Amino acid sequence: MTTAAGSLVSAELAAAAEAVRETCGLQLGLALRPAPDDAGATGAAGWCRSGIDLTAADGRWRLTLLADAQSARRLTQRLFGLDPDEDPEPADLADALKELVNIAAGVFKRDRRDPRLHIALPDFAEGGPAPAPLPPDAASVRLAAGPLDPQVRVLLDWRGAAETGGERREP
Amino acid sequence: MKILIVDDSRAMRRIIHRTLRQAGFAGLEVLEAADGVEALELALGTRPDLILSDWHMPRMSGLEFKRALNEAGLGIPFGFVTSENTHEMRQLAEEAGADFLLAKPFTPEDMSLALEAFVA
Repeated sequence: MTTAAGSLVSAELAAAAEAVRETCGLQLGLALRPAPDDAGATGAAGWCRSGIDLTAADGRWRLTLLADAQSARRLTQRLFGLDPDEDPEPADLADALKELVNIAAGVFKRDRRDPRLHIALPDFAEGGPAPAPLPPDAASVRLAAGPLDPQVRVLLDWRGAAETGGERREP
Repeated sequence: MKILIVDDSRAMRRIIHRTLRQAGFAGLEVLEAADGVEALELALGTRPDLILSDWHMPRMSGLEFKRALNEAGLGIPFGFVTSENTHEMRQLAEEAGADFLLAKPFTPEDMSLALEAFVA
């Protein structure tokens, strides 16, 4: 990433990754740490992604959590307190990943000390490959714990300057 | 003691329920609702002893739900559990008569501190 926006994204990515680490640590008891990028898995199919749009005074962002199918399953099992051999319902898997990105967005907002930052509703998609290469104004970091633990990629994507108006939710 | 957990995310309802147990609140009867409309109906019918509600929900938000409870004359202890925790939200919650606002993510200790005045 060589653009000015890219530098901004890189600077904010650390905060976003920390927000995800705090969320997974406190809510799942999962001690994730930044890990070397696993480029070999980037193009694999079967990824799950939950994302959320953030609108701050300095622009619009999108925070995305990417998890391979096995990691998404394990994250959901942890969140719902399921046994390791218990398969979560597809709706619960989507719900779990949306809730994690939603909480992380709240932590990101808290740490940015920006009470006007607007957090949209999270969305979820599964089945596609992870983005490779990343969009020009995006950066990602892989978070992992033990070899049998789930891992996630945190992706922060700059969507340009904030527009005035638009739909906002309460308050 | 009856607690009503209100959140459109089943995952979050599960987290709250589990954290209540981890915080040492045993023997609770836990009721669940997925939005303010469902919660209001349940609260009117069952009169829970404490309500823990999300803020942002479809159909009826947590704040609208709290205001509806006030209009119905139900002074049930009420706490918001929400991923956003701004001064503006705290002010709105306080004006509506909420007893506390617990920010996500939270630990069993956070939950214990927030609820100790309301759970026997």
